[in-house]
Amino acid sequence: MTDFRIGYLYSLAPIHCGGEGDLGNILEIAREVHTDFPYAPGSSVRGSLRDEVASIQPDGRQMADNLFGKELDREGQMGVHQVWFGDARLLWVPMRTMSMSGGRDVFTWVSCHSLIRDHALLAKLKAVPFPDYPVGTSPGNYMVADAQLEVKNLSPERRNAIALAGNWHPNLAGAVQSTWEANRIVLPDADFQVLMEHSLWTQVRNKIQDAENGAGQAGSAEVFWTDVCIPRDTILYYSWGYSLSQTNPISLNHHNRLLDVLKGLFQVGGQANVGRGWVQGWVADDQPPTGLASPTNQTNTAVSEGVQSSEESASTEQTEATVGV
Amino acid sequence: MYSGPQLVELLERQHQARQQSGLFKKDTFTLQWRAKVGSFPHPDIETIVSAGEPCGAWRPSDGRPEDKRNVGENWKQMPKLPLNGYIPGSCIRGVVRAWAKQRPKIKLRMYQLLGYQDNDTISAGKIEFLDAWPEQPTKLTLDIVNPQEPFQVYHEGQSTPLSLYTLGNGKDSIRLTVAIRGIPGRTTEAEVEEVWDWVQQALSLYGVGSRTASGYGGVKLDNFDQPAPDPDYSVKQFDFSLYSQGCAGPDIKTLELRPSHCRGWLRSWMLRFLLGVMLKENAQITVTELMGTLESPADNKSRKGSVRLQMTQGEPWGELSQNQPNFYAWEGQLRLSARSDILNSIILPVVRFAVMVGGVGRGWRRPLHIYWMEKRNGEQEEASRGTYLTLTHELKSGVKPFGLPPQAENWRDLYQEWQTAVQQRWPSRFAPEAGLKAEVFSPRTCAVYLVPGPEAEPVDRKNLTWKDIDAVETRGLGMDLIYNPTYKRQPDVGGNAGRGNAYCSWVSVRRIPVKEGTKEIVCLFMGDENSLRSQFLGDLAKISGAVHLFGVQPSNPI
Repeated sequence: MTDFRIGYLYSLAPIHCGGEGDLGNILEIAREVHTDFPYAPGSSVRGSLRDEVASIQPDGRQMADNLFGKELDREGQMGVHQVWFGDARLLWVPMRTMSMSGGRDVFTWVSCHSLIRDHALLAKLKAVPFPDYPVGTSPGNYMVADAQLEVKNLSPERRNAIALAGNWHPNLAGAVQSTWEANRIVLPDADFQVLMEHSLWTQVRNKIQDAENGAGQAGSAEVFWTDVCIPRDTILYYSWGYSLSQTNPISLNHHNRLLDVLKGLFQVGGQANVGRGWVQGWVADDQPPTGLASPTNQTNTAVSEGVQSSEESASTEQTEATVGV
Repeated sequence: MYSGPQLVELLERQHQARQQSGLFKKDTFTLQWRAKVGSFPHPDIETIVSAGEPCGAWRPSDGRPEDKRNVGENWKQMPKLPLNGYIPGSCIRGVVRAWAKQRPKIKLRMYQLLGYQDNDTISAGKIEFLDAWPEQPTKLTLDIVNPQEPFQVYHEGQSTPLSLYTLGNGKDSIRLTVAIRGIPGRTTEAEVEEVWDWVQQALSLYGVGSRTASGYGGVKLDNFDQPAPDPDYSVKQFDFSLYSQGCAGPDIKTLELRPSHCRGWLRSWMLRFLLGVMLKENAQITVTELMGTLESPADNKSRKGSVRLQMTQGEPWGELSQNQPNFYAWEGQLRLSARSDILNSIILPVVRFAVMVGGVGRGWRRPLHIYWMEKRNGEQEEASRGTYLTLTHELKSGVKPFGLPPQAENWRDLYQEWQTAVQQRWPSRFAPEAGLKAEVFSPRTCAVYLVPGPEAEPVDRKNLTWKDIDAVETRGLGMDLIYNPTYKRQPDVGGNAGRGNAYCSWVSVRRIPVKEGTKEIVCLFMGDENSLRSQFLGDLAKISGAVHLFGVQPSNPI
């Protein structure tokens, strides 16, 4: 794979990608098997982006088919994708219940060694080892409830290692970016794991019984449950890239349409009907890939890409699945 | 950093840039008072907290967050929580669905547009509801839950007040942005417009969150007409004025008038009346059917209730009197809504009686008067006590007081009409009885007399001043009788508010204006057989100029 890029998501609403947790009435979220950290699976991100591309006129559905591959139809026909997406992984998670030295309230983001290392690899940053104690952009004593966290200063090379690739999205370039630049703490993995177990966003919800023929009386809570989410103000990163068709590649119009979506707001995960999952996206590299269709045959591309043989589709989906997980 | 409102701002711009503006609707609503909406798990596991997002530290110096404290301790240590409040989109969606289900013509359409679940089949909706964030970051503040029914009606011990954290501080209104969005490609601008109208109607009519029938969660939209009531429901609107010693909220030193004061007033009066025509258990069940409950004392069931109460602040609001001893003035509007047949025949008659025999909130059993309060050091100082409540309503003939003329036949006839309505509505529960150990308002269980009041009204309500600051001159003969040492501070009659365990008085006194000055309406609840109350009844009837208005008399006690 030669086209390999990095993209970012900033959550403007809690993200709920459903998981398989079995904790009574707690609605758990998807977690990575190897770290147990919450994440947004690549298939979820890809589906959201596809929907978003398809919703933009003109030619949204056609463009979505060209970019993501035509969906399986009644004849068993599928298309080939020309853009791929990996999982969106945590990078910086907000920790707000904090104060500096018991004094002023602090809004800070935290991350951990392995997330920083993996992101650095993708972002082509120089990876450096981190110590087994907290380091951050604003050293000092942080209080979280009655626990104290002593944060040491970041060395310049470690500060470089926790940078993001490319430029922030203009929508976030004000208070968000400046707050982020001044307020980051890198924790050892084990400490971060504890936070991911206990400090995610939760909301207790209930469904009010509205008739006498349910489990309870009208007006009572028919069902109680707790939603768990990746909190607002979380920064996630993901890998993505193009895998253009040799015969019918997408055009610059497709690239621009995709960028419009990747650099826009889109919704990831479940509970969209109650406002969950909205992210501001941006990418580090927005250059068109090599091998795009020339302007003269763009129309042909858009139409001819729709149908592929089922054999080719199956093998492509397999490839994508391998990349995505 | 406060990023709460950012999503709606950015999403609106994106819809505009993509020529999808018609699929996005937003507006600024004003939260009028407090809202308990959604839920945040408090570290002590029990305290109920409105939805919020962490924004600061739980400071150990203020006590451990997981510690359970009484309301007074929380007021000192955690009057605010380090949480920015908001209204979850799920709550707005739930209110809209509940509103639509009351309207047969809209119900099916609502299922089409908002989705539905039919056993295992889920049909997705087309409209998304976003979280509504205050324009300015707003931390959750301490509130109080203090049920009074066992104390006020049954004369049992006082309940323990509980802490509750709400969006809103009880003083300032909060501007917040409500928004919905139609999913592009799946819905039309007309459908989004249709749902947006529902949002405006539902929020304006019901408010948002829990306790909306008690005045919580009321929201207002600029330039939006009064929403239509639910089908078969009627609304009765009063202008009210209350001059009183003041009621406490979460802080006992900050005096306020809360919608829940009015709600508790109405609820307790419904119970006092129903206890006169039903066995205790049935009366309790009926009250909870009307007013709602989380857990009925009669059968442990929760009930939705059907009577809603909203209070709108006016001017003056909590204004201090011009001279000492201080009292406070509140004016505003009170809206009661219920099914039309219940409102007119069951609820409003009780309100007519209630407003004639007492006030609202702390000191409701006494007219606004001055008394000499003995301090701990033995010195005495003047203090304002009691309330002066008036309700008016607008008729074709103009604005009129809402109540009852001080003539026995009016009281007898209205009670008879009310009793007949109750009997027709709940025939199997109807069983008039007497002698309950509770405050029961019925011809068999209470005595109401009209007696001479102070020569002139002692309060200049227009200028918020005491006209005559001689304490005795603020009392009529009914108050004089209560202040007689035989009855004063006696739990069986006069009550005892200030010494150790508090006891309610079994007597309420209200001052009313009449042509020749003022009168007092004295209502004695007989409760169980009690010699001191029987003695008080005899003394009450013997007052020179006393007129029997309603209920038992010395010659015909319970």
